[in-house]
Amino acid sequence: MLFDYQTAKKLPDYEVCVVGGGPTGITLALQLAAKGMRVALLEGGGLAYSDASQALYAVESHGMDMLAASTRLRYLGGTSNHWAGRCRPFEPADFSSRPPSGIPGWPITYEAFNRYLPAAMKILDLPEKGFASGNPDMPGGSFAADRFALSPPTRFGEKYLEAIKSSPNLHLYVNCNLVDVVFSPSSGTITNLIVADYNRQSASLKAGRYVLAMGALENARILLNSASLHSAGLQGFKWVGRCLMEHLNVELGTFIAGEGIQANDLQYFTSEALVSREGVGRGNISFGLVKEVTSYGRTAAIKSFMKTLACDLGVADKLQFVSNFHCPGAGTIGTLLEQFPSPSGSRVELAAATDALGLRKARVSWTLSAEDKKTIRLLSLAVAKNFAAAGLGFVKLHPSMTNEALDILVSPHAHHMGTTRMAQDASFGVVDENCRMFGVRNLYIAGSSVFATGGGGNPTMPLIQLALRLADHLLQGKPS
Amino acid sequence: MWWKNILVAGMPSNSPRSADNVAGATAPPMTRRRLLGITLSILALAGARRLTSAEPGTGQGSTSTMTDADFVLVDGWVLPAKYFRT
Repeated sequence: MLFDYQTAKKLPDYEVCVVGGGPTGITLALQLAAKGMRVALLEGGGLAYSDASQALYAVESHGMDMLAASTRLRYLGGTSNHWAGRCRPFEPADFSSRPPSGIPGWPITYEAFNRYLPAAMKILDLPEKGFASGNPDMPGGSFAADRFALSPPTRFGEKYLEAIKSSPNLHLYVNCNLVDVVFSPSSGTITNLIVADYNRQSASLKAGRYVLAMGALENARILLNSASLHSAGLQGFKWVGRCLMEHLNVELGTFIAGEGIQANDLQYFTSEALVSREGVGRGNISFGLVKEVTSYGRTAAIKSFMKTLACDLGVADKLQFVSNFHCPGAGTIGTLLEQFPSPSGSRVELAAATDALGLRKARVSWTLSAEDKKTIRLLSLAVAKNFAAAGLGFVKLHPSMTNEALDILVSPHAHHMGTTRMAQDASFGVVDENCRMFGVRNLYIAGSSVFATGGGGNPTMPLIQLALRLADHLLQGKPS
Repeated sequence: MWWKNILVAGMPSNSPRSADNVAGATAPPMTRRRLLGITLSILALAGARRLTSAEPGTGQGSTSTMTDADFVLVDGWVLPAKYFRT
């Protein structure tokens, strides 16, 4: 059933309240409701895009710019409303390896995670043939052909709205913004949530259990904004917001193809032999030819026109100081590289400024650690050498790949992970292996914010797998 | 430096835009022979920098199956050293 909280204020009690109407929240809520649980699903945005909702995603940015205000979408379906659909499974080694920073990796096994892969593939409308590669391995043993699958892409708000409306056990409240999580130290539980509409009219919502599924930046922000949680002295709380990870799209260089080589859309993935030998992150490196100038943002049409004109006139290289772009026909190299969790590095904190609902905004610091720079520079050199040795062509590395005095240029992939990381105990994380927050008996956190490591693949499918796993746990009725 | 224009001139041309480039990104790849000719010119003038294990990103003590002595770095291009051996 669907309610617009902007006008409908009655909030009964529920068995489970899921906050966040993105892929994670929708998946989890539907799974629980289908098994007879009374579930509230809260979405701060509406059924469609609105400036008022999107403005609540504004952040203070330090270090590299994650473009957090525009790469996330704040309405039903969340960022699935503009995701590209690429899906790649986690590797077994993602669950057995330990990050170089010394903190532990995942506290669950690959098998415990991977058993949810078939169901996740179905939810994401992936083809039955599964994951396939479009090119051979790169000779040399360091880079294998990357295997992946493409969702149509599934727009969760569009696809699942009717199922939500027709579920008698599931109440979806749109335009319902979470503004506080109230913790009782004496009981060790969340007693209630405080929600508000866009006029800041607030009310209390009570449930037996609560799940935060608002994405890595917002999950951390709402926890940090909770005065009652902040003052409770919970051991794992010091990890909230820390170990923020993204996937790195590095300005690695350009290439020319060897004679007779079809070099459009060659996708490679680091081999486990390379990763374990060199102690670097995993990831995708792809080679492609630019078909057309691309631009993003509200003035994309104007930008594309000017860039195309510059290409046609042959003066594109003169404009690189204004905007870094490639002209059609250029051989470009893209990457999706793992960023390691760094306890002292990238993180989400609170800014002094507040948003329209009175919550302190997120202060996002996104930086490269020494281990990330090693990953980038070593892999760039390795792929260039292997590319040439294989006769595929030649790579011209960006100067920052061989000159440590230069800053490495990185673009975001909008894969926000790790800010409420999963761990064996509260010494190294925010949630346990069942996604329950350490020290809080009835609060769970879902989505990519619980990732202990980021791996080298797109996070949407893994976070659906974790949502299904959490649903199973909640349905078992295990005591908190 | 004027010699950089040699390499730039040899690159797949971005101007004028051919109909192929605009439509389907089919810029002709540079042959190895042409690239070799260009880079030999640069080597004569600027000197090639042989990649060593001390280069950033290779990792001290790494045991890659491909030795760095097999490649040279020329103006950012990673090229097989065999093209420059006499």
